[in-house]
Amino acid sequence: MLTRDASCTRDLLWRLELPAGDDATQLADRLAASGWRDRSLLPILRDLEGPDGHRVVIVPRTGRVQLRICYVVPPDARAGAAARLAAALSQPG
Amino acid sequence: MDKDIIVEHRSHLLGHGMNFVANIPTVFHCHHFNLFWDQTIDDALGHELSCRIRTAAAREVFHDILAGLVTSAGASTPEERLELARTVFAAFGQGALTLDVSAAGGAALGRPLHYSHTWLEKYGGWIRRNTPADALAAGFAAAATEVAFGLPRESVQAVEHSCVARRDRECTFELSVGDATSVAGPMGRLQVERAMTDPVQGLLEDQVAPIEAGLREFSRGMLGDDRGLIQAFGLFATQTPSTYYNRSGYDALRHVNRTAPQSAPVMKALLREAGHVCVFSTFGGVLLSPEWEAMVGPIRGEPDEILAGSLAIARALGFGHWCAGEFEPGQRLVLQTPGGYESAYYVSREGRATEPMCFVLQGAALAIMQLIERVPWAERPTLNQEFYNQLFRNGLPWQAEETQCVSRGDPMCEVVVSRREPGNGVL
Ligand SMILES: [Zn+2]
Repeated sequence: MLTRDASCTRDLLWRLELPAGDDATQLADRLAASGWRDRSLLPILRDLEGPDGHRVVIVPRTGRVQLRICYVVPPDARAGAAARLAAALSQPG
Repeated sequence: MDKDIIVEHRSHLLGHGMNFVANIPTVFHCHHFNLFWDQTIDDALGHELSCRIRTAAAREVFHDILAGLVTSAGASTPEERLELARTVFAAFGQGALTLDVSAAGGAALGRPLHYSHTWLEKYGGWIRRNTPADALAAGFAAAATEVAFGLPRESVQAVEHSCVARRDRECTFELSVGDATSVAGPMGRLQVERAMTDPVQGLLEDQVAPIEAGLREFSRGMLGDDRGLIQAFGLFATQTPSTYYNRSGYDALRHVNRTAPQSAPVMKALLREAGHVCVFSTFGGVLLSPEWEAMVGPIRGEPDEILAGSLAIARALGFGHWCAGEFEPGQRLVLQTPGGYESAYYVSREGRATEPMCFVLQGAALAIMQLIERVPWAERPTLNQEFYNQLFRNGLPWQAEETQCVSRGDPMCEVVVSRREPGNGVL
């Protein structure tokens, strides 16, 4: 499920609830393995940047997943970009 | 040139919550605060004079940072120095700047720039702007030109002619070389160390210290992305030399005191409100962020948790070594610090004050009480303008008074937040 995240400014930040049983750490590993750029500053917070500049930020200890839509995307196109990204992430690896 | 050069030159003054790059004091602030601060100076002075003062403040302090970095990096040619300047600007989260300059001046082009980009993000949907927004970038471009070609500090003028915040395609600057204007004295680590008083101890230290350490470790690696902006904690952040805020704020206040003293209380109230904006947006954004959840855990909203978290955030971001001297939930908070980035500047540059001068600290202390008492953290609130207006522009239940101030010669800065007495002045 995809919802606007807590401190979201103009649709930049989205919270993605993974289906029950899906592992957030595995998602991070899968993105890294498929060429997403690892921008993590600390191992406790995975921060991966995709080819379109969107970022997926994952908190392994709690399973929180935040999508950060690239800020060069115009505000009115961000919700669509988030939905497409969420759909792509939910495809099995 | 690698942005890691900034990481290598980041340092802090332990026990005082002061951060430095190349021994110049810096502080992390978010775009909400940055835009509010510039607007406050604009409101006080009018855009033209405000822009001149803010550009001069940025030029002075970025000259000192760049001069320090080119020496330690061994950048000797103008090309190497300009490349280093471009890298530094992006590493600080200020944006992407192209400099086409010589010893006689030239042009600069920016896109994106922190100020104009985030102004459009925040206000672009409903306000039309006619004035350029990037005085900091203008001052930086002037400083980079000075340092690249060995020109005197404060000798290059920069004017922004087109600006993305005004719906122009890109931000453009014209740089010209003149005489050195008002050469300000140094404002570096030495001056900060001299201005600080003895460390103070506070409550909840066993909670504050580890969070401060974690945040400090995280923020040490925080750099602008490939486009030169820092998107972290749900915000756009910058690392900015604190002299930019201090010189522009205190110069503007001096001007108002001289030309329209009846307006000074309004200006001070706005500088305090910048503290509200900072704590609500930056501290609140940090507390709700995945970064916080990873380092500390999901926010529960308990008073001690919000207070300890806020003190740790202030220390790690470079505001000062904020401590809770007293805390009674719902009633009273006494915030103490052995000076901060405001008093460090004031003591060094302005001399002895006759009244407390840490306006951001005053507003921030009150706003921390608001975060503790009036934000429903468990509901994961959205920290937007509507919620801000509801919390801060709808009658404040607290009053804040800076009862001691290092700028006035007191042994610490201390702000007492208590329940507002009916009929008491606004703060
Ligand atoms: Zn003070």
